[in-house]
Amino acid sequence: MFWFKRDKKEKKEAFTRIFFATDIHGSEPCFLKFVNAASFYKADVIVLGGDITGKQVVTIERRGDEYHSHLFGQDRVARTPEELAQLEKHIRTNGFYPYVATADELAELSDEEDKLAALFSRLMCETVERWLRIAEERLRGLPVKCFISPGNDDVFDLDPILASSDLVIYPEGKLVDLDGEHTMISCGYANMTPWRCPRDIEDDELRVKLEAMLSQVEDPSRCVFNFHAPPYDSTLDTAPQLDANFKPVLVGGQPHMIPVGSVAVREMIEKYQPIIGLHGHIHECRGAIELGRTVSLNPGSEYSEGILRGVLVNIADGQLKGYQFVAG
Amino acid sequence: MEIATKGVFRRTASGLTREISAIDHWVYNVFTLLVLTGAAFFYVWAPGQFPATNPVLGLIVAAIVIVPIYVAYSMLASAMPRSGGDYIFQSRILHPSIAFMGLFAMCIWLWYWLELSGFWIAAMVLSPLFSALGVFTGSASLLALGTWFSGGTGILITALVTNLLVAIAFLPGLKTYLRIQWFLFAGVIISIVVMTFVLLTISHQTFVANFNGFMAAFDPSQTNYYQYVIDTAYANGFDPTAGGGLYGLIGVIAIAWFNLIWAVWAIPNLGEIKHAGNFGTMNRVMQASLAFGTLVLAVTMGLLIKVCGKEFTLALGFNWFNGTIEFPVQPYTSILIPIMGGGAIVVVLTLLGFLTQAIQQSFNVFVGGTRLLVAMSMDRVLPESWGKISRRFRGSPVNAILFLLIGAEVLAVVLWFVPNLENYALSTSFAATIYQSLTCLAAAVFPWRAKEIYEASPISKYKLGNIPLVTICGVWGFLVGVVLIIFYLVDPNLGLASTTGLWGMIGVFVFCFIWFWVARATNKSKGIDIDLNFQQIPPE
Repeated sequence: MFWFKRDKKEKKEAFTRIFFATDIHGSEPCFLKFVNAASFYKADVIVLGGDITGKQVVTIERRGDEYHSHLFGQDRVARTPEELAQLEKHIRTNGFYPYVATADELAELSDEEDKLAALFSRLMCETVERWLRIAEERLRGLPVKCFISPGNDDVFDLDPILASSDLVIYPEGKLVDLDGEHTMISCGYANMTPWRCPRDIEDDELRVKLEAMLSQVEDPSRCVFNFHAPPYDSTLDTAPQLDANFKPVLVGGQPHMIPVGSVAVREMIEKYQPIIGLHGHIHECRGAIELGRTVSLNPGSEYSEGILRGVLVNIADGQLKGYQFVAG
Repeated sequence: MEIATKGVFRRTASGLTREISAIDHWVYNVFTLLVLTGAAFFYVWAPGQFPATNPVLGLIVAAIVIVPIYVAYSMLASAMPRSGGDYIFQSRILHPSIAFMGLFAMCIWLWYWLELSGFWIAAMVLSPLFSALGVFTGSASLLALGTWFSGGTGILITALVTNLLVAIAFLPGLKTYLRIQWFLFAGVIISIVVMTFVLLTISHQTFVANFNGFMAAFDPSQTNYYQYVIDTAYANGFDPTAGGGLYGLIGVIAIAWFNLIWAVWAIPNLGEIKHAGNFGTMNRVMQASLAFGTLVLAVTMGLLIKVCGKEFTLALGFNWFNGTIEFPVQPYTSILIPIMGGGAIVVVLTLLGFLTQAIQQSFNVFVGGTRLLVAMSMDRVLPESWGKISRRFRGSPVNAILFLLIGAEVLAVVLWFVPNLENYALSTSFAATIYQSLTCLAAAVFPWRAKEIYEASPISKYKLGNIPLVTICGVWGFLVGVVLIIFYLVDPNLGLASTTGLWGMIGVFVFCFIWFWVARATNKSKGIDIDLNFQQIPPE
């Protein structure tokens, strides 16, 4: 920004700064921004809160020396390797997975559900593996801890890949140290959605899981809860009610908005009163809400526009010192 | 798993829906164009101030001028479909202090907009209603009540009550508003149909006879009030050949701006518009509402001149603006047309639309204003508490609503001491034109100032030669805005009715500008660097 100048001498702040983003759904620019957020925001800890994989595969049909694709209602043709790379980059930018194949191979995919599922899993895992290498390359040597946890939309094949990095920390279900003074516990499971995603479970089951995780926490007042699902009826969880065909239920001609968060998550926050709750899942519900002493935050998501929404949180001595929403 | 579209496979995953559909958006826009209430000002103001300029031509030219501005807005909206609209565009493309100055000032002007709703209900609905009923029944009490609602106290009480009731109704959130929007819209459509029918079927002679009969109920000494209006105007310096040429045309455009530019008021709600990320749909919805609004205004204006007579229409506007006649009921279309119809049913059906539009206008101040305030609060330029979302009221920004309500109630009392508050209506256009021009400037420089967002957006493919279309439309909108701002400043008849008013406006802008820098410093002292809110993280 042209009128802004940084202080010549950057002071070491007396708090730990956490940058939290979530629900990037396969958007490559968002992931790259997440990694760069560490130095950009001078964060000590960066946390990617789940739903990191994309939802769509955009095929690129190989026809001789040409590559044909269809994106956002437009036919696109790449004739050179450079053009193909550009096309693939454009597809990734929007959170989709490019897949190059012949017409016969694509027809086979359309007919066989198992093959398509395997393709999705392979593309998601390959992408996350590649992303981890980028994160390792960019963050190694920096004084920052990087956590990446899965969300309810992410397949289980992803977990061993996330756990394989020697730099990025896979925090799912574990109590992890943030700065020597504060800890974090993470859960990517969510209460059941109409889509019945890989990590959707009933709220009762989620409650049992959370209680088991929280039994590891000695001092909840110095702990950060990184739970993908937002607490129930917290304004961080308002979404249209859907029917069996995933269509919004209309009341008086308008979508009927209801709270869709997790009762179990809310109960755990109210019971244990951590420093903060970090949540995602409901993209449109960016906001903050106080549940007792705990401030629960949902930075929302605009991954499809390549915008990384996040929240910067300053904590010290078991206290929340401040937070601000950012979108980079 | 499924095949979503040609060449795209989609897996089962969670996803959500925004609330405002394209048709809701169009209806909202038609409301914000004020095709009944705000238009009633145009019918007296434009002919009265620029009598030598054809007002229908002025409306059409204004609409043509606005088309590229709506294109620029649609493009910015689709590239940054986020709640806060103009504030987001300007703060991310130009500078946050500029954005805050223009848009927070606009939020303060919204207090005046809320007064206008009360004014419209009092002077355009209740006053004509009771006056007409008084004439039909011969009741002096009803006539007096009609006159009372035209006066300062009637307007004050109506504004206070309307603001309070609409704020309470808005507390449960946008959902409640969207449910009643269609009922309010039905009222507007019924009114437009009735008015058009009356204007098409009534003769000039019948209007003159009905008008004279109606006014005689208030002032029996004037048996020919129609001629009295014309004679009084001439006696006070009315010149039908004045206000012509290019100057007159720009003047009429400046007045039409009060109506036709306002499809941009849905832009702060982008976070809730389903098709916000789709340039084509956004643009079609905005242009369609502009076309509809222009058609209604132009047809009504043309028919009014035909039925009432050109000389009378011009003289009526002159007397209204200059206060040379103390009208017992303000001479808006909400009374002129029911007089033509001559029956209680026409009165009720016509006034129904004016009432529902005034109520909606009050709602849309709360809808757009709260979105702007919440966006500024999220950026921490306003205190965090201002944007706080209430759990009790299902996600409603209660404190932002209170900011608008309390400010409006206080202003209502202040304005009680100010005569002819409607004469300041174009002051709001002046203030709004400043922020809208800044948004157009943001559109003009968007491809360079926010290159990454621009290039990632679908609008980057629209170019004329090598020049981005958003730049061309943005430059056009900015230049038009500058011309209008100059015009509002130099022409004393266009809203800035006093030097005090002008200094007041400048004072508010300066106050907002200073506020930004104080808020920035205050946040910095708490370890919160708000500059970070407005910067893009480089992906590479």
